[in-house]
Amino acid sequence: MIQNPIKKIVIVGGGTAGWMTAAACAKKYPATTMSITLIESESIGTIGVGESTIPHIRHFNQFLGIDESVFVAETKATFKMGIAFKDWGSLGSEYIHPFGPLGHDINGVEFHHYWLRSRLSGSPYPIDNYSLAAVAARAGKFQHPCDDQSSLLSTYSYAFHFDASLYAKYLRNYSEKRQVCRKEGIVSETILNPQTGFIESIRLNSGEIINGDLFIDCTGFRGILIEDVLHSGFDDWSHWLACDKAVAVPCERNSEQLNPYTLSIAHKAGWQWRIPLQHRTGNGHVYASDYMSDDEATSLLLNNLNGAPLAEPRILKFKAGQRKKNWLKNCVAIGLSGGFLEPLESTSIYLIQVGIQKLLEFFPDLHFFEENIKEFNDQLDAEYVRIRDFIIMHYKQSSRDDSEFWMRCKNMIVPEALANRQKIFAACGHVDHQQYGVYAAVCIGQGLIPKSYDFKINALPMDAIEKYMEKIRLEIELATQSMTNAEMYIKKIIGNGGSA
Amino acid sequence: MNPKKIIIVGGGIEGWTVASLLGRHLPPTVAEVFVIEHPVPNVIIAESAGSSINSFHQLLGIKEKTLLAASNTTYRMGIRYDGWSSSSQRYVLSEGRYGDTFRGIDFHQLYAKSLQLGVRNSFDEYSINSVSVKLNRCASPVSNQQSIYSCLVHGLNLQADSYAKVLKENAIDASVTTIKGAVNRVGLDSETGHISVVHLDNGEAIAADFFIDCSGKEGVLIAGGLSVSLISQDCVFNRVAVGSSTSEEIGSPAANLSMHNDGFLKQVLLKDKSICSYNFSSLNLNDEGAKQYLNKLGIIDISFQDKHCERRSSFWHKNCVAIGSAAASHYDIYYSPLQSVRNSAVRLLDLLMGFDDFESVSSEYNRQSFVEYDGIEELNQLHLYFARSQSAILREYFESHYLTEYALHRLNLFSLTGKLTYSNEDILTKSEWIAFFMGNNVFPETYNNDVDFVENSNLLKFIEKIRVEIYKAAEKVPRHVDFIANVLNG
Repeated sequence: MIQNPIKKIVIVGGGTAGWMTAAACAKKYPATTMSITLIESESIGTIGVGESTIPHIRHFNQFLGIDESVFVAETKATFKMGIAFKDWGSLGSEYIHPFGPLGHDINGVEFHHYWLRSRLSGSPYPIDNYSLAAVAARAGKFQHPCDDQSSLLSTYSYAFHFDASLYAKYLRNYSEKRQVCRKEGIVSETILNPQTGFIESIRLNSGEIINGDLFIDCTGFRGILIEDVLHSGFDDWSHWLACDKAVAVPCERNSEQLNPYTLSIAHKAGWQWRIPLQHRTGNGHVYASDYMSDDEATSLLLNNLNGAPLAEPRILKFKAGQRKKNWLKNCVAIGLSGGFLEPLESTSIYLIQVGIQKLLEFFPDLHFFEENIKEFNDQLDAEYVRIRDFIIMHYKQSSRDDSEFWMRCKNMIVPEALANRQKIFAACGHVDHQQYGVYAAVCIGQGLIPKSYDFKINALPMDAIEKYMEKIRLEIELATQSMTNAEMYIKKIIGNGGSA
Repeated sequence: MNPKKIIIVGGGIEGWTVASLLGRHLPPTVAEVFVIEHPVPNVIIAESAGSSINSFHQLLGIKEKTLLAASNTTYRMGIRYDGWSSSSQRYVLSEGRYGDTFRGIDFHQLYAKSLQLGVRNSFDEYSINSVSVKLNRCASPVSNQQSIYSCLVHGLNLQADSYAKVLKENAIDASVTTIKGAVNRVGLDSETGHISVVHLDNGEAIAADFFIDCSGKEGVLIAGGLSVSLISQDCVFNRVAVGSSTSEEIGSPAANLSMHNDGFLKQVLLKDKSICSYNFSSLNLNDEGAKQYLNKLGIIDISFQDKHCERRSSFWHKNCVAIGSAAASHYDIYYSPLQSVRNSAVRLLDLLMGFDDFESVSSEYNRQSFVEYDGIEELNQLHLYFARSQSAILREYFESHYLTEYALHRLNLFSLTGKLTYSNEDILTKSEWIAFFMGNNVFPETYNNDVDFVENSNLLKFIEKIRVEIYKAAEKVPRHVDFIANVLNG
């Protein structure tokens, strides 16, 4: 078969998704072999609320060859080692979903079984006290994990809080240096091939016509190519994820310690995020408009800021779900045009990244083989569903019954695979390792305590287990004490302009 | 707390595999393991096992040296396809790396282009393991990641009866208790439907908390006790002739696979003989005909068995789990039946977390088992599909049957683009899938466009350099026979 390479990529929409895609394509495909055009309009704002990330973002920056300290300085980033969930499992409860393991396994049995046993004999320590990432995060400590694999200080991971619009700006500069052509304009018409239905070109409001082989839709919720033109369709998940609005407002960073974690506080009909950056704190309140008015949501947010607001609150509307096909004909939807899941586990930018990574892995040629498209869609769908179920689990696995919203969550019928996973965890603490995150930490944090632990640990005497657990706790405490204050650490990095 | 009692029914190689693992990993203070040496048919005569057997033996604390000393064992670094998908095919499929990436581009993509540029080397020439097999050489990997010898991967070829002895000794050493006798009746708890007791032919009745059925196809517990049904699947080659041929000396660390007009032949190359199983269709060939055919190939001592492809509708039911041929039966082509017994044992150990509530863990066990069995079936289907040109029976079969949708997708995706569909629960690694397709003449019709960023002359130079380096390195690997002697003396 004749090799028939793609020579022209057209990305519609700037913003985080658009510029991340442009940067990655420009890095992978030299300008001599690929022309990349990105169309965006100053008049269309970007959503840009995805300011919290998970550790995978570091791989993306590494792929682009971006130095971390430059990235931290340019995007006003801070480090994070996990997400704290307050009032989620029940009012007054708090736990951290750490970027690192809980304790460590012994004799092939996972740590949380030992924790369950020690709890039965009266040990008062919450499970996240056995995670260095969680304990250090609470203490406001951060430093890069060390290289020595035998040290406890090598056992956690980290991600960033950053200003997504600064990141997009930085990547725009990166892309333009690599000959990505940015065009200011709005798409006024899309021209399809009458036989195949493929997109041949788009016309801008200036009248200019732009041809392309492959079109990337980064136009946000609307999906002007994937939906308005190609009618992919949308799988609505709002019966599981009822939150459909968010109000966002930045505020001043006060003099309190810089928390190297994202804070998520559950409210009456949703939850609030607090994301500390170097120069300000990002805040938002995600809520279900069926259960709360915009005004109430806004005042609830404003009353729960830990600094003076820096702008007028902005309200966003969304719907949880995914495009039926993220790749259709010669158009691929990346970012919000492909699907939306609330940023409860900081996965918005991660899902953009997965889309880009899979696009590069299954990069087509002009044959646009159906098998290739199907594989891309199947793999992306699986990732969306994995994260969707994990987020649904937070709502379902709560004992809160103080509002109509929480009652609804309690009573909802969740996807079958999730229900089975929860059933088996509830019975004996078994965790499926294909699942996202530190699953046991979140289940237990939400208040789902397994009925029994793995009987295989019964061979060890109780006092040996208790001693062992105390040793882990002390080691974590010592390690935490030895770590640097997170705010000082950032200052050092920016001050040096090089790696710490 | 009194220890729980676990009964394994069946004293064959499947039963001892499970008993060893549970005996080693369930402390006697929490669970006691018993094996009722219920007679089981000797379906498995030999195994050619991939490298994952090594980590299983580590779990059991069995040393390679023990196996080499006791059981006619040899190493296995690959499977030799000898006239499988075409009469001229001589290809070794092995685990481990093929070639190397170049500027971040996957090797098989470079190879796909090299074919279009006229290169005629077989894909297995880029694997040090496959080349070592061809040169009758074998060694263990070195730990230095920079060295090409860190890519060496081997498993083992084992003779079932002597291997079962090693496993049995290991199980008994791990305080597993044997019980003589055969199960002739199973008693159920009238309330829960769980198995409460098994009655032996000597009149003894044995109660336990948990039962494992390793009694083979008969399924004395799963079928005889719990009436879990068996679902039959297509089985074109419905009869197996097992025999052996002598060999002068230890040769290649491999097993051979060949397709013949009436069936397929697998030969596991042991120390002083090869154990051969010929799966054929009784519609085309009677036992006498099969015997004559095999005799001509130098295979003697032939006995016959029926072959069924089938599986239970569920494997863990109530307080009983069926493992091995009591649970399912497939052709032994690339993926050995004992491999899935080992996987089942590990899966059971992982999921058996208590004795109060089996419902949720058993459904997870069954889900994982179905995924594995589906995977084996898909791989076997693809094997037979590739062998059509060698067998009239298969040509006819595939006129009215087609590959499953998933197998077809995997095949088409690879043959069009050289890309792979992949999940973490796949039974082969990505690199094995690629080598499997390439070896059976499925070459990608297009390659990734970044391959074109490499100048043709550089690409050709690069892959030729790799080929030569691998050949030179493989020539320095010890001879298989010497390596075994070294391990035994070391």
